[in-house]
Amino acid sequence: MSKGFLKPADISPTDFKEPIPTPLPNGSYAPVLTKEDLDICSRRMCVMDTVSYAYATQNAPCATYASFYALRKIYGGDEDAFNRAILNQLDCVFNATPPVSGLILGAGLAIEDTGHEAGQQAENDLKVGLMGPVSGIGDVFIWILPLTILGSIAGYMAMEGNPVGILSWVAIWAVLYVWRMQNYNQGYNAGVQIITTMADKLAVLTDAASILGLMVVGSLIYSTVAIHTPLTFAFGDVALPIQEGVLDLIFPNIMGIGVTALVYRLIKKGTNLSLIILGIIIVSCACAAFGILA
Amino acid sequence: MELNAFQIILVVLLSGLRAADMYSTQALPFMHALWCWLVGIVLGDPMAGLVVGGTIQLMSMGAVGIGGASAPDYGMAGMVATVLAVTSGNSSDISVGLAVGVAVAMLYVQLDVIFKIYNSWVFSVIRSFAVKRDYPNMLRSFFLSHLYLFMQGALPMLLVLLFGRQAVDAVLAVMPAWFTAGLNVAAGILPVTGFAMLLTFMPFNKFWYFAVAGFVCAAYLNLSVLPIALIAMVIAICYFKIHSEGVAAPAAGALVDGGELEDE
Repeated sequence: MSKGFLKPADISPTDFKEPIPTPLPNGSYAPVLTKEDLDICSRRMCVMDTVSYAYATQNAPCATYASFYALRKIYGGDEDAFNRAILNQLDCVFNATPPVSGLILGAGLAIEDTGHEAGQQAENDLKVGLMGPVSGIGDVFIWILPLTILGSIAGYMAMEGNPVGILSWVAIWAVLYVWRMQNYNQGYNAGVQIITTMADKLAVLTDAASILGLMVVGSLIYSTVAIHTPLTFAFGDVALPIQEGVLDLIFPNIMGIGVTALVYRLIKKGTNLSLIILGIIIVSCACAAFGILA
Repeated sequence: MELNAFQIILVVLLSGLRAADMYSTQALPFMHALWCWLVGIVLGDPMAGLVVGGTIQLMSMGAVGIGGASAPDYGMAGMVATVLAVTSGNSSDISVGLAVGVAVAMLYVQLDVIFKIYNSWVFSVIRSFAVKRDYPNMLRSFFLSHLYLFMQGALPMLLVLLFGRQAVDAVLAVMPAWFTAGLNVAAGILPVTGFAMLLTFMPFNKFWYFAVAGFVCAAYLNLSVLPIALIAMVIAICYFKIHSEGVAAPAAGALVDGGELEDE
């Protein structure tokens, strides 16, 4: 099958006219999936990502939707086997960072492509075994770091009325998107190798990237958190504004650091974020009412 | 400012698309500043969109629903806040819009839980079609989730567009001065929640001194965020080079150590 963006042109979901696949002498099957088939899986995954997330099955339906036509091709005219394969996909709990989940699911399809139904247990084990570690890496590199670095630059520039930060974020994300629209191939070809051999280097890479993130966050705590007190000490004729005369001399934006440290502690303790936000609003109102903050 | 029908339809569409994209296609996920900017452009005040979007973006950092956790929906918050800031006619004061927006974000945590329960029903539909071998209908029923998400974004936005301004005006009319002043103060403090949340995700205890370095660059050297990010990149590359080359040789030793531990 080939030619088609989300659906191969020459395979129908209703007619099972293809010949029933026959096993090789050693019990395995000749692999049938091509690069185009896997591209279609990757693109179908882009349509789904994590949209089917439910507490019991998590993203298993998304994985099923993505690999539908690949499975259809693997099992050919054997409709019963295809049906069991679809139900197997639906029932195998799966949840990984969507942009990299094609790496795992592609590796799983590689097993099913040669092993057919005998390979499904290994495929399921692989999916469940890898989804944790791959998501651990994926969440950091796909969500947390881009959001920290690109998101804070975009947000900071936007606050000053400059959309350049937003546009560069969109451009960088687009590059990732082009890659992920074919990433079942990397999973299929490298199978498990890519994830295991790169693991030790990835730890250093994660650390290096965290340094980048922490420095940006450190600078933003100064430049975006704005807490100002209009209070003034008055000794007879001498007036000493607390903000400019005392606090800023100790440390610029010292109150911002204090509040950040406090909220960090509260979150680490497990305090609900909504409560913290509500608390900030209440304290702000109280301080504003008494003229402590402005 | 009055909105025409065309603007209302476009903003409702944007809101629905953003909600669906966030979970499904993820083409522009978590880019709250971008979506607010788009809303601002449609409403004829791109600047308000950028300012509100930037504030919400900084507030939201770290609020990512990872591994199926429900996070406040700051994207919806930002779009609502943008609409309110523009329609209230005083787009230089975004504090009221922000306060309403943050309330919306909190409300959406609950809606997110409902969505995931709804998905359990969608799954049962999909699976029953699969058992019946009705594959065309099975493939169609996946999109029940997309439809729900679109509605979850679009319908509340329609309500905000139709009644939001009157509601906010009514609230403003009875709101005491200390409360609006307090909201202004809170708008300056709230980005803290995003940073603090982020720090809990990052190896802050291991690398806290790099956060100090970033703070010093901004506070004492008065550098803006882009040059600081570039300096940080240089440090990160050096760190990676030193440690990844250092790893090569002692890696064998580390492996032996691991083996010894296992033997015990």
